[in-house]
Amino acid sequence: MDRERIAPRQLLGSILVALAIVAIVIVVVVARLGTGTGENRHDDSGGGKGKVEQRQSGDDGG
Amino acid sequence: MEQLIDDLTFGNVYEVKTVLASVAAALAVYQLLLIAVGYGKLRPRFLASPAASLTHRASGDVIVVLVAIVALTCLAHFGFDDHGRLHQVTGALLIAVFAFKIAVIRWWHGLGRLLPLLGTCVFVLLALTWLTSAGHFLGGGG
Repeated sequence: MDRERIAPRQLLGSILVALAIVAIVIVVVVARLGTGTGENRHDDSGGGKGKVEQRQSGDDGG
Repeated sequence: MEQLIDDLTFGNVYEVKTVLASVAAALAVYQLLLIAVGYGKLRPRFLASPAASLTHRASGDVIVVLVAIVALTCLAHFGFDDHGRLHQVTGALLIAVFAFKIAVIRWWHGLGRLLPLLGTCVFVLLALTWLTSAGHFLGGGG
């Protein structure tokens, strides 16, 4: 590895790329984990059907 | 200790471990590119060797912290149970090679010629450890 003068812009750019990689990985992994959790919650509760029934009853009343 | 980890992660030990290990693995891939530029194997116009080397060191420090946290979490929360034997072996080897590489960088400068080999070993072991745990978990393996 060389002992040349370090260009500040290059250093900042390479560090920003590292931070961008960290941010992207966090978002992707959390989204992936969140998708799995969401599916399980939906399957367990069966809440979608309930919402439809509520809306129908609201229509009847109006 | 197990209770502390549970409290810190709000009971989501697997998920927190997966995120931290995935960040470490992604940074490890970036490390390969940076050190290739540092050693002059790659010569992009926008990045010179000194900046790449310095970022490699800084990013490596972050990876060490992440790996240490994940390893401590693993040991304290899961211990050495019967399943996941490959993960345990690659994880233990990763810590050992990592420690040796840090010693070479900080104190044993005479062994500096081993750094490319040690770095490659760290990358391969980190990838294997990630694949046998976080990658498996993300892939739906549970």
